[in-house]
Amino acid sequence: MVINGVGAVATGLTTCVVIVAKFAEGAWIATLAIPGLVLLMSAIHRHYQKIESEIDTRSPAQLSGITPPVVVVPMQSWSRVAEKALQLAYTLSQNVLVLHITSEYAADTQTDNALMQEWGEFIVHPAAEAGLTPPQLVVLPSPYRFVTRTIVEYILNLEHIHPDRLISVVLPELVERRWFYDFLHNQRAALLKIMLYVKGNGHIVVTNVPWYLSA
Amino acid sequence: MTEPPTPRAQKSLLDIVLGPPLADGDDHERVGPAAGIPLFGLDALSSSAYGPEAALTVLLALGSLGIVYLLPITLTIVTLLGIVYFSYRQTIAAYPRGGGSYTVASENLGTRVGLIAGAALIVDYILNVAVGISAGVGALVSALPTLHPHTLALCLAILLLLTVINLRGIRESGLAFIVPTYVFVACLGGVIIIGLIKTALHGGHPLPVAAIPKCGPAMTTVSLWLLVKAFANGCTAMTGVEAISNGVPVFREPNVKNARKTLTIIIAILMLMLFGIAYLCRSYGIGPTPPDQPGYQSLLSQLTGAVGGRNISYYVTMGTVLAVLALSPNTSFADFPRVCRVIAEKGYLPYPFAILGRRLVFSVGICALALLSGLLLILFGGITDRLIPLFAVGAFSAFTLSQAGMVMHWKRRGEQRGAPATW
Repeated sequence: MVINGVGAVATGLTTCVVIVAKFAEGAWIATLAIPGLVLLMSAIHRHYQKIESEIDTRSPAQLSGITPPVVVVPMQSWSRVAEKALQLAYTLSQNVLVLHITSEYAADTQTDNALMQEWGEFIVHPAAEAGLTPPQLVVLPSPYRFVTRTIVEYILNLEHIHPDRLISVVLPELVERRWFYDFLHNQRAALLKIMLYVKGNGHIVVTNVPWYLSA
Repeated sequence: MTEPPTPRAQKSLLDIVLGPPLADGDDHERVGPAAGIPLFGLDALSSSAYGPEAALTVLLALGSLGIVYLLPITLTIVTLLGIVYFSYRQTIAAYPRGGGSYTVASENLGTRVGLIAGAALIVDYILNVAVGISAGVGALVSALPTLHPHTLALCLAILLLLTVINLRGIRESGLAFIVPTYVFVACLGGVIIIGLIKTALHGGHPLPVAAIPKCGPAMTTVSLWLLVKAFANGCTAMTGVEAISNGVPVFREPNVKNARKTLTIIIAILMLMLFGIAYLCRSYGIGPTPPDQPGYQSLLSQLTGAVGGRNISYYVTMGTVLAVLALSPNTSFADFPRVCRVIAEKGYLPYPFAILGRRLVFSVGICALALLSGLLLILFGGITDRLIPLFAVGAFSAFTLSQAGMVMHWKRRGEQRGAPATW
């Protein structure tokens, strides 16, 4: 204790000497940086504490009276990826909505109408056969070709209509074996997820359904 | 549809650069005193290369009289070093799980004070990396002026090298620095011992082998302020001493004993070197040369030349000085992530700082240190001489708070036992 005391006094004096002797030469930067860093660290701590007090709970799990979510599956055309997304959707809820975006430009192409033509044969029929409530097809016109925005607006509206239910958005996604193949696809799913989380009111759950490409 | 590739099936680029990941509890990352000295002592030892010089430069105005004052100033610093040494011996024993300034101060003096100590160390380590690298590169560039346009590139290359070595793990970084550290100690030790023998043989006034630049005429007025400034400058020789107190868990069992042994050796070597340099400067009459004028020679360069002449051993010694200076930031690399880890565990820094990386080191801390000091180097164009005055402040604030914390620690322990506190 005596040793530490002597040490504390000696180095304390030295600190003062160093600060005073070299204040003008630059020691003032350090004397500013240290309190600055202390404030930053305190702010980080406050933030962590805020999070903890918000999510901390000491009561048992509330599991009765929970309702299945409304599931939304955006679908451009019928494919194996879409099939996988739909399979997942039915494990979550019987209340499944398939969102399809059309525009006049897209209407000229084959794929756009294909989904609506195949709807009964590929989707409604097998759903009924499996004893499931067939999904509801929602066709959204998008005269300005804003796909993401149209989907986000629809889902936000859905959230507004069902304030007591979770909206589960199931997004099919391709996973490439090589990262540079990613440039061949648009990154709509990632963007959609961010926009839904940012704009939503906390009732939206986004699930990605990855499809692992073999080549 | 295929499965995602199984991890670790093939050697990735990261495996080659950083080595394969290490498993939990892999004792690979423990060191003994032999590897601990380069790991935790490089900074302290290398500062003998610039501490006395920094003090002498302030005394430049005094001319040859300045040399007279170097010895008492150095003795003061060596005494201070001794006090700090005994303090840290206690800290190591009291905190075998690692008791850096932050831990000791926050446990004994309150969180706020602990944060100040932690912040002081963080600032100090970041500066130390930038200053150490640029000092080493600066010395290299003045020896080989053709490299001058590439100063910043050289600085960043050394920073990258240090980062990669440290990401590879504690043991390997200790091993990588063993050779330069011990060659440096051997060379400088040799110069000092030969110098002392020659001084003794010549009755206190040996003749220099290589000519020493003339000093200005002696001034008669010595202001206390000047001496205080010289002392403050010389105190940069003490930075880096605290690193070991945070790193006790890194040592092999019995780790307290090993850490103490390492600390003893580092401090003993540093004290002998500081004292030897100051004593020989006086007996050879080596004075400072103005650093910004042609004909500038560093103190160690003059001393080595005066003792042994400008032969092959001179160049080997100067080469190791360069190497050790450039590698001295490694001590910061060893300790900075540990400081950040402890602070992060208490929730005052982002959590990733507390995660052990693939090579059982705190990778996030290492990368953060590299980024911040790299930023400083870029901002100052690789010339960080102006930052030198900044960085003793952090180290000494941390020393002070750590020791004040230890006083409280003993006091509380004494009260608990109901016995008078003793050390």
